[in-house]
Amino acid sequence: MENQVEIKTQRPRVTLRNLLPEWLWGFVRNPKAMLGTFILLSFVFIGLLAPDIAPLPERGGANRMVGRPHQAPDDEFWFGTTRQGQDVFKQVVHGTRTSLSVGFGAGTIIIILCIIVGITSGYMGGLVDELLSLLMNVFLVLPGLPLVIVISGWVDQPGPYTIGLVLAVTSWAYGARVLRSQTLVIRNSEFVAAARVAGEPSWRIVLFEILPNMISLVVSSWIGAVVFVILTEATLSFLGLGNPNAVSWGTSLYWAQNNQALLTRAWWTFVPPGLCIALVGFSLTLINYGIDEISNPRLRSGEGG
Amino acid sequence: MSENIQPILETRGLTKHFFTGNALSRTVVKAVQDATLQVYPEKVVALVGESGSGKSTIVRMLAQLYKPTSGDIIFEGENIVKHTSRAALLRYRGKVQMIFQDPFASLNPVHKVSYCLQRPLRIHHKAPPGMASALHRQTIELLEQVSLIPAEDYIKKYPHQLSGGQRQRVAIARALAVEPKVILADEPVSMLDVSIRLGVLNLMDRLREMHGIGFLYVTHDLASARYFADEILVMYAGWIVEKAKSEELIQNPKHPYTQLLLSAVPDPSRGLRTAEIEIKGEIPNLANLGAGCPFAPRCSKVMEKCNTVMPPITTFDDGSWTRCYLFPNN
Repeated sequence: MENQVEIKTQRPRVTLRNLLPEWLWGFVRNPKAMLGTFILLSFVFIGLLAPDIAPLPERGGANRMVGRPHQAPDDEFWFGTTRQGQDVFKQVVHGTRTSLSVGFGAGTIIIILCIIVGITSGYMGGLVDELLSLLMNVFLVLPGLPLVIVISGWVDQPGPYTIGLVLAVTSWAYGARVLRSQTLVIRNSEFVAAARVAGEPSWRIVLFEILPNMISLVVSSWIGAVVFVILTEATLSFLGLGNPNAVSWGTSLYWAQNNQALLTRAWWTFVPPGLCIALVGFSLTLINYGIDEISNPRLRSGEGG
Repeated sequence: MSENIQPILETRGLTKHFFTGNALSRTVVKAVQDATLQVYPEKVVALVGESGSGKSTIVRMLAQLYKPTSGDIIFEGENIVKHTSRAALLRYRGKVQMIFQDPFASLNPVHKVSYCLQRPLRIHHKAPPGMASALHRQTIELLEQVSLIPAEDYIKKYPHQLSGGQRQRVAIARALAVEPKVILADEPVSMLDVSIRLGVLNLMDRLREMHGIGFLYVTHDLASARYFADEILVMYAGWIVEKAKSEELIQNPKHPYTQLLLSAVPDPSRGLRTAEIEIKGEIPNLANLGAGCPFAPRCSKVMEKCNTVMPPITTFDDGSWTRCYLFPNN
């Protein structure tokens, strides 16, 4: 028995663990993060491969009438048809594309603005901090949703991307405040003073000493922003404030509501887009939990400490 | 000891006032006042005082983390308060390094030991650029110098995988990386377990001898100052009140505050009898200090003039000095 163990330890084995960097291994081992990633990646693939999964007719795209109105799901139309005879499956698949790209695009713009404004404000202090804090406060009290409604009345029927952009510009301030306060805490820590004594320039202190300590905060803010944009874009489209001819989950819900799907019991017109929104939100939240557990180095090394 | 050797780092009339509050009600906290001290190569100067007495503020000014309100810091004959260019600052940082009090806070939790040690090496060009092997070798040497052996085991560790003593050794190695001439040690052992303090003190002593480094050793612990330092400065409420060689200060304290401090040290032979000096009062609030000696309200030998003007420095034959009217200016 003892002999066997010795032989085993002597042989170098190529395992997944040896191939991955430490943080990624932690991610792979975290069930919450993995389930979230799996669901999210499925949607990303659906979005990327939308033209292959559900080829669109040349004219009319996903909104073209292809069958009888309000047909229940069957072999031909997996998710049934709408009142206009549109294929719900095609709409959901192509809506995935729109909703995810708006969500991730605007979410990324939000987090970049947060990092730039928040960390600059917290690290520089003084007059710069005063001015940037003023800017943040102005954008904090700026009511995002009514503003988008006003803008949608102004720009005639804004598409999902316009809505995403307006959301990005109006809703970065909250995250920036959070990052600013965290920067203030870390800026006064001894390891920042030690880096200064070692002779590190300011930009390196910000990027390599302060920012890595906020990675979980940055990533969770980013994911939160993505969820926020996806939900808000769906909400606005559902309220009919977007372009009703665009193909997104929110627009699908808008048409389902408009066509009294509940009264006509056409559940297949609102369950698929609604479920998609819920699943994407769920997966991103799971990833967020997972990252929270991994990003703290103290929690990271359960063994081998 | 200072007759023929020039001090490598000295301060003259170093003062730091912090301003708090807003434009309407501004309060001035006088953290350090008129501090004069000298650090000599291969010698250890201890700065002893209670918390809040301004010891750390002096160290942070010397490390160029705070800007002095007034006064001069002279390093190798050059007044560095006047030279504030980036290049001059970097040159200074390459010669004067600092060890922080809390080894749990002074190492960035996201970086490995190797990163901590290699950054100063890179910044101050101690390794030829692009030579990864030379950098690695130097990192190993640094770890071996602070007795973290086998060094290969420590190089890939994160701070949270090390004990307090090991972390402080890494922090010492980081300070050592630039081959400094002066190390400012801000209570380097006060956060460590009693059992490993001596090891770290002995390590610093060995480095002092090996590299001829001058130490400014800040502590609130008179016993360790006596053990490690050649000279002790006693600080109270922003003022340095007495300077003497370590033994002299312990055996023959002059300033009443030093006497109070010594009487507070537990002495096994004395048992649990109360100290000869009655301890009364509190450390004053640095925001509203009077004009006189800050120790006057607590002093058993207080005189009238103590409350009006801070006593000047009275120097003795052996080079020690004190700020007290009990020793008239000659």
